[in-house]
Amino acid sequence: MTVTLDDLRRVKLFAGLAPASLAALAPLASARSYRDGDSILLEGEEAAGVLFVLEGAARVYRTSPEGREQTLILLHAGDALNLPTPFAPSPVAPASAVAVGDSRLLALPLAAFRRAASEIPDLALAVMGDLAARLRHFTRLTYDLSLRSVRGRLARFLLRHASADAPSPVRWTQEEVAAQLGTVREVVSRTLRAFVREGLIRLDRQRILILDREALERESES
Amino acid sequence: MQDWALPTIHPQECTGCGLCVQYCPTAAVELVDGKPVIVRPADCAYCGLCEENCPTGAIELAYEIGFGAA
Repeated sequence: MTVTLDDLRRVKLFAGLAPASLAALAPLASARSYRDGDSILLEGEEAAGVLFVLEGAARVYRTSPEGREQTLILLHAGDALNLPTPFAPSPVAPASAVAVGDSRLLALPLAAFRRAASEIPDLALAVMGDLAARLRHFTRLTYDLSLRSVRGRLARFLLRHASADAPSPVRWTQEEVAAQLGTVREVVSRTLRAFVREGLIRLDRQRILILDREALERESES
Repeated sequence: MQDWALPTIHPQECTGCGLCVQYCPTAAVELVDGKPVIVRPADCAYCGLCEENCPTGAIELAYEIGFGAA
């Protein structure tokens, strides 16, 4: 699928690049469409290129031998999916990724991206900024998973995804919430019921409605 | 927002055990050719008992998250 300059401009990392730099990258790039749930990348496989979400979203996750999933990050349009790969000692993917909703991704060959980053200082700085943000994300995730209670994680999840400026209105199953929070569906179900009993939330058919934001914020610190 | 959202059934994960039919308090779901179908969608209360009791995770209820009045 042909990649246009407009496609490249959708990638946050490329937002500040000069038209000449974008024009040099465009012929090297390719794009591919995925249906909801399609596999984008498999843990343990070599990534052929560095990938960017143009449309839709991608969920990056790891699976335990028992089949339990832990979502590591949800990426939206403009985000890089495997930015460390072109700079890593091995191109083997440390995690898997699937499309969330119908999605379109852009790919650049690893060597071409590495060369571009070494030749364009603005791109190199943008890469470092993105990697720093990712490091911050995983520091927070490690804290959440190891030191925060499931009640706290669920409260935080509800507050984060209820905000009006959430990137896209997503409908979540309890299984998906569990994969985000590092627990199992039964625990999510039990904790939601406890929040209902305590008057923090209300289940209104297909909606989880937050009734007591302050109490939920206090809970999210637990 | 669609007010008529219904549970999603994944037939390939369903063993046809019928527990969802047994637990549904409004008899909205029935086995048709051995697989569950929400035959009376208007009766589905979206209570989640089918999801909770499904041994293979073949029925899922999805939720949007928002703010509401008590």
